[in-house]
Amino acid sequence: MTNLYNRIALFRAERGVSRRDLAEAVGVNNQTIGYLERGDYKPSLELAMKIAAYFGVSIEMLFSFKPFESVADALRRAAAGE
Amino acid sequence: MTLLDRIDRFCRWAVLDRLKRSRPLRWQPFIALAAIIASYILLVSGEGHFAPWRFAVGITLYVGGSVAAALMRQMGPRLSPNQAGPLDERELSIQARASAWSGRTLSVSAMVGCFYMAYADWFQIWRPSTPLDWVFLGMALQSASMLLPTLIASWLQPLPEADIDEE
Repeated sequence: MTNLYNRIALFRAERGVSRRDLAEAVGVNNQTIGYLERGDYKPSLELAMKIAAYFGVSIEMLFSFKPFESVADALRRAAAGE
Repeated sequence: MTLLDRIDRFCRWAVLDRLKRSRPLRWQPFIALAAIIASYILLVSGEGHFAPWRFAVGITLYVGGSVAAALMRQMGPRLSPNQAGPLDERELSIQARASAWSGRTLSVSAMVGCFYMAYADWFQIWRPSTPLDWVFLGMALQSASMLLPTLIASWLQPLPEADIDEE
């Protein structure tokens, strides 16, 4: 089965949003947000779009079939590019 | 502070509110199932000789197992909407798969049971024969059907993180 990676935890931490707040905003149980963040549950297209809309980003920014680059690596790359 | 506020505060203080949170129950249902099976064996054994102690222990085990099954249904993974709200898409998916597996398990058990009944006389082994044997079997199956979806749903979903409910 294909893995679906996501950056929900990163966006949530960056915006200071709790799992409960996000869960209430997109209409799911807060445990479901935990399962999503751990990659234990793949969301429906509807839920994925709701989460993306909540953070105001495109779905591709949040979900990917390939692992996302870690924040440390992205910072390192940005620093090296400067 | 109103009476309801005081009751809420007491529930939080006594940690009673945490009992209502859904959690996977992976092993506890086996204990209730064992109690129900043991109660059936005690209630139908004795070959027609009524023994009060056996009946009392059997009924106690049956009631204990059934009450535990009903409680686990409430405390385990959510399988129906409750005061926490309707089921979300993940819970609906778990509920559908748990119900399907539970139905499949009970159907296969009934099928195996039919073959067992058919050949029990031939092999001269015990089979339910009196009306009470059948009533107790029906009651045991009723409790098992209540317990199976909780047990299966608990194994279908990964264990939640410790901090999920604390946020």
